[in-house]
Amino acid sequence: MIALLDPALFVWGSPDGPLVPADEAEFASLVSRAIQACREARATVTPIAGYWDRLWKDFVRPLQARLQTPRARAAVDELRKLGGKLTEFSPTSADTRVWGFRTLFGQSNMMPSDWEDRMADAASRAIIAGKSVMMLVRLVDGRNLRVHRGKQNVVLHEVTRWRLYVRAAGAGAHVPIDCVRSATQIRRTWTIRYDERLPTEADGARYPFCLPVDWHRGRRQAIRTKESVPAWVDTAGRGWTRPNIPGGAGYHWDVFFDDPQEVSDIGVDQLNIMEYAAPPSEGTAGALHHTPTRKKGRVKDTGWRCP
Amino acid sequence: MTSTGTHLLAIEVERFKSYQKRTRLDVTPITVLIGRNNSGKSALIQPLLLLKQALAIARPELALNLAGEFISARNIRDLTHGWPGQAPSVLGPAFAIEWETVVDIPATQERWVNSQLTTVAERAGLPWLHGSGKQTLAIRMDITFQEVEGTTTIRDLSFKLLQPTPVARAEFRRSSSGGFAMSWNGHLTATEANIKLDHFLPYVDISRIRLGRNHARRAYLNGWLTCFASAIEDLRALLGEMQYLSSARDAPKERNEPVSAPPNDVGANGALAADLFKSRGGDLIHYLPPLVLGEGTVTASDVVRERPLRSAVNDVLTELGVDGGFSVEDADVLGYRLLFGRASLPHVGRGLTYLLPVVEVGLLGDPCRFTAIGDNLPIDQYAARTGRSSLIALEEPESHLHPKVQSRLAQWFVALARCQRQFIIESHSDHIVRRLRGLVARAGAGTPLETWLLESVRIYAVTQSTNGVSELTPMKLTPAGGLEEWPEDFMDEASQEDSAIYYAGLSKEERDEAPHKFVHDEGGPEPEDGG
Repeated sequence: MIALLDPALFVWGSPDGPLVPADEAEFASLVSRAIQACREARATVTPIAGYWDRLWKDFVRPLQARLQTPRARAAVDELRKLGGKLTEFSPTSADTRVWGFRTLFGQSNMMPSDWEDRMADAASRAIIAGKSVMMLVRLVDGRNLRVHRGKQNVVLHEVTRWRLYVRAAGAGAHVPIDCVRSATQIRRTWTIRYDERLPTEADGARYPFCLPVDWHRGRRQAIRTKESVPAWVDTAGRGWTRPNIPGGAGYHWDVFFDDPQEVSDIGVDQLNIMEYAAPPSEGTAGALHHTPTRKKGRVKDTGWRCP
Repeated sequence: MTSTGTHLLAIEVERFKSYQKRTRLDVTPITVLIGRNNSGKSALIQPLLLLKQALAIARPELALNLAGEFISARNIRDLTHGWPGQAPSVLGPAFAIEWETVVDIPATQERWVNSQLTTVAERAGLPWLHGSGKQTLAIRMDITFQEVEGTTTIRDLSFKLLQPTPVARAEFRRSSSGGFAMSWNGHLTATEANIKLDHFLPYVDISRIRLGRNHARRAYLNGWLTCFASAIEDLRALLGEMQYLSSARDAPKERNEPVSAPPNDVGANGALAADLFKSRGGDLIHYLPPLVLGEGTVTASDVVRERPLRSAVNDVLTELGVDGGFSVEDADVLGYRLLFGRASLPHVGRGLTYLLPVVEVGLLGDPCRFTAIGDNLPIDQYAARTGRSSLIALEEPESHLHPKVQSRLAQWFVALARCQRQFIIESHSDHIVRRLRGLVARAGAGTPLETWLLESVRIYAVTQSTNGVSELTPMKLTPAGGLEEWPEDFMDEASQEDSAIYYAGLSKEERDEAPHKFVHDEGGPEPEDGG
């Protein structure tokens, strides 16, 4: 597995002067998570000619000079160590077709427009050489992220570009490239698009988020408005939204369902369900987190299964 | 608890060498001092050495010994901040030592003279005496030196019971005749006729004071006996048995003289390392092996080994990654040769000759050294058996060692610190500090080892300002192996140089290739794939 680095990982604020502390902390965190993802996927950040040198000279080096904290500097050092020797994959032909690169690398003001071809070149060289490829990305609002804000403090982050595709000349099918941000996304691939905190049957959830089989397809709508707030929609049409806590904090999902049969089976039309990977003291992923007093007599703790 | 039994808690210095203001060094099982040359690292170990070398000479009337094995100065002014000139009276350095000790309350009561428990507890202000069994005490000694008419003397001396509360304080004040009188919590308790000083440690002869059994002064004197008398003996033992190895070493000899008296230490310059190996080689030592690293993990043994010193030295060397072993070859009546493998010491690598005394010092820090207490003793039983920790001060233990050995030394220091040794290490070694951080990062989250490391390892950055005043910045490790506070240029030379090499290489090996134009199907439908 070869991991390619999104140049946006290294573009922060004004090019002069130090990063603001919050940005530097976020940068260190993003890079650390990218390194963990590489370890999880046993991926190397292979220096592919034409992309690697320019990435380090044009983006990483100027940023490194602006870093103030040892943690951020160490993160860059570790990333560099994952690189290894320069790899000279064969060049691709001009009729190699790519999809998604322009959105990520060609339309933003974060990098020169020739980066859509540089990244496409690196990815397609590796794919034609028979390697699997993943893209280590940063979410940037308006580029590959849409922020949904609803009433009652609800904020959902929708990823708008989670896969890229490459089809070599003469090849029958497009090869997908996942856009990854953490090690969790290696183990739970669907979280490259959906919120990592959604609990599924695979997580042992009693009330799982039922993942659509075609979760990776763009035509599948991931977020809809439910009860006047944005919500992740599962295959059963339930809406999963954040609780009314500032910043979307808390350790549970407010889950709405409008199927009359389901409302009848459970006794209410809304449950508070434990999110995935919350502290163990909060409860088990996908279990009932709490039931308000006014609903206590009505809730039948039956759980549900995904189709 | 990171240490059990008697152990050092802190050192404070003021007006000492480059330390102008009062500066405190909290001493944990592993205390590492880092900083540039001449920043003031050694000056934080030297108060202990000064006190140690004073107690080592049989001239109790001298407050300090300024011509000792560890520190040599013409007068106390040489050691005083700002090097004050000669005057009839010159204020010298002030030190404070804090240590923890355990007092056996019933045993102490037996030493009391003519007092009731209730009377002592109430009048001396020690309510915890009503408890039974053993009580842990935290004690502080404050001492200020001065030079009067060219002689170093004690200006102020006091002892304070910090824990348990309420605080109790015994102060020794000079009388006009030059002797000391003692007060307990501000009340005059003993006059100079009953007080003798052994260098800087006071002894109050309680038996010759004629007072009624309910007299308040009687209660104060028994309070002194309970809180400080045995604690002072523990401090004497702590300093007396402290092991110290400086960064300088004597050159190894081709042939060593016969050993007339087996040493108990390696000498400040490691000069006795060979004699110790020869003469104490069969005596028993207790220690733990270095921590073992796995794939992102670290494991620590909890079973204390008991081995003859000679085999312990060679075992540890092997575990530090040094193959081969030391042995002794007798040379008739002329002495002996210390061999590594088949080569005599002057003909092996310098690193080995530097490593031997470091290993021996670590082993000699065993409070039960040269005593059989049983092999494979669980660590807590060993701690209970020793009842105290021992102090080990090392200056640049990394000298002349391969980076891998330096890193493994850190693993061994941690192991030893888990079995009743307290290390104060002055170092320039990025490898030692990095490995200490690496051990915390590798230790499982929430495990006893992680907790121990977070509580027990302290790194201090020592800096000196342009006007020659030293300051100390404590740094606690974080569970991820970072530091809560990173100094400006904290051991980042190696990584900065790595970056510089990398970027310089990029510039020299220009490999930029402009990519060709791709067909971007962005506007079209999302491609199909296998999912």
